[in-house]
Amino acid sequence: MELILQTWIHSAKKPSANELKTFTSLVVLFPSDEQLLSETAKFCLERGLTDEAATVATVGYANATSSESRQNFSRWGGK
Amino acid sequence: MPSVPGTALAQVRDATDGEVADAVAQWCLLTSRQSPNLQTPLRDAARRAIGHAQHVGQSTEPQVFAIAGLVELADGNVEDARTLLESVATYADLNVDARFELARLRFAEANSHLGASGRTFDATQTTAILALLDPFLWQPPGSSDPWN
Repeated sequence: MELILQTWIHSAKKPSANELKTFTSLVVLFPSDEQLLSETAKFCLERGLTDEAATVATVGYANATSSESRQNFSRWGGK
Repeated sequence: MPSVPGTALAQVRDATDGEVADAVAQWCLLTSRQSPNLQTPLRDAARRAIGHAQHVGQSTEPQVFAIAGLVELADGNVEDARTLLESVATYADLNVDARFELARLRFAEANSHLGASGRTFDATQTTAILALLDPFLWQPPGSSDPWN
């Protein structure tokens, strides 16, 4: 998952909204991977997918291991 | 014999030399990750299994090249591993580890060319990486199994 996301981040060719929606539906299956969740939430926001960003950020918020991380997920729509 | 609806009876046949080498070498690699003090003998055993399939069995099966690439990678021989994995990159049933490792090698190479200039991967580089990883995301259930 991380490799797919990093490829998209580094690529001029961005994923479609549908591809990103499928991706986020899989990313939330890894609730303990804070880095993957935070990078996915940020990437979704950059692509204008606020609902998907909030879904991912909510999972990240619930599993965050620090107050700083929880604040970040909250900023990206997590609750 | 009655069969369960929606299932087919398994057809039993002898494994090919390549399939035996693939199974043995995968087991050796997996075990070597769990047993650091046995890495060298296990990788040697994997090499022997692969060598037997290639030289005695004359196997040219893609999975043998794939597992040979993974063994080279585990030994740190990145260039040899890349060559072997690239030679089977288009094989539809390439195993999951080979897919991931080749994608990782292609990503590392593309990334090394970016430098600090803020440039991005071009469409060819992106496709070359994602084509290996796509099956895990987009392949519908029931089609060719990427987790073989």
